[in-house]
Amino acid sequence: MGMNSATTLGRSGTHDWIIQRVSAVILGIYFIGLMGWFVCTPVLDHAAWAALNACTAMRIVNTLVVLSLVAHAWVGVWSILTDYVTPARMRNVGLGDYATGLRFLLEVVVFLWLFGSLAWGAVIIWAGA
Amino acid sequence: MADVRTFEIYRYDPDKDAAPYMQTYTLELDGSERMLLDALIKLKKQDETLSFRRSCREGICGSDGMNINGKNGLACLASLDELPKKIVVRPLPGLPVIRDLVVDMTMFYRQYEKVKPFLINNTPPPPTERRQSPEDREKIDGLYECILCACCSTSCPSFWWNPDKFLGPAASIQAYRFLVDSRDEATAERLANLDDPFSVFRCHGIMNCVNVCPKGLNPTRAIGHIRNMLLSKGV
Repeated sequence: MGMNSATTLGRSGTHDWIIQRVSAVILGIYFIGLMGWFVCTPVLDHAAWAALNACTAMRIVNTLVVLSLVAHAWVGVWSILTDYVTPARMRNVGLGDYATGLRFLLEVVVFLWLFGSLAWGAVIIWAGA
Repeated sequence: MADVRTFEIYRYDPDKDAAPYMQTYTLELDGSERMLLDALIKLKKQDETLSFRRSCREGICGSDGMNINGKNGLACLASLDELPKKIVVRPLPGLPVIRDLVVDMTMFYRQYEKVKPFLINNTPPPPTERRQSPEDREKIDGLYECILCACCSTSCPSFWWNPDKFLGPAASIQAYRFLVDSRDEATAERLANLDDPFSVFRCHGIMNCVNVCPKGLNPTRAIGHIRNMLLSKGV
């Protein structure tokens, strides 16, 4: 009966669910930590910001955060696309027959966008390391 | 003073009507009608073409689920005292309309069928019945009472969008009812059948189901328990 999909990130519904929850916790902790840094840093300038992000530990953390953001976004956007870009929904706007192709196209666009963001993020994070 | 009510009722006969429309009826209540179903039965005497399902008229059979002033419920449990002067009645949302307030429940039952809503136990039965401790029996309270009226599943956007893939609240509560039954031996197979991105994970916990269930059940909680079982199996 299991209705698995070829375009999910995880191996199963449970796997996707864990990925989305864990990535949300990582993002939450990161942004709370970042807020704390903004509040506690006496002189907030580019030098302080650059120094924070230049240390290897922060580069690793930033990589993890971008990875979490991309994974979280993929699970969420995939879920939205499979809710709304379906033959039944798209019939209302006369695109019922094209819904599956359109969804696949949108999934490819979102994948390329997220993969691009991940690669670009990695280049920025690890620049000058 | 006479209690006159206005009813706006969704009408659609695919053999005759090009599109659905709302028909207005007025009915003077004589005091013998307690529930919306009583009024609908009187309206049917006025207009025999008005179609709806009903059977037990006491909230047990689950046939007369409909959308009453924007909220799904059973006509036989919707007290006229608590309804306003104007009552708008539509079929349960999200399922194809066969005629007027009668919807095609095929999708709903297909999801119910998927969860194998029966005990699976291949151990030879004892001379008497398969016994449960009172504690184990208690675990299916709040689950077995479901009457499959479909008020919950048809108030759930996730079920509207994916009625072929997402179990919906009603079938989910049934799935958990057999997962948690101490006499059932197919827990692993049942869980394996639910571990896809749709069956239970398409629930986003908005709790429309809990809001409308005429039996006061909590399908969202049952879905949460199923996810916990899947997690403990998978982690």
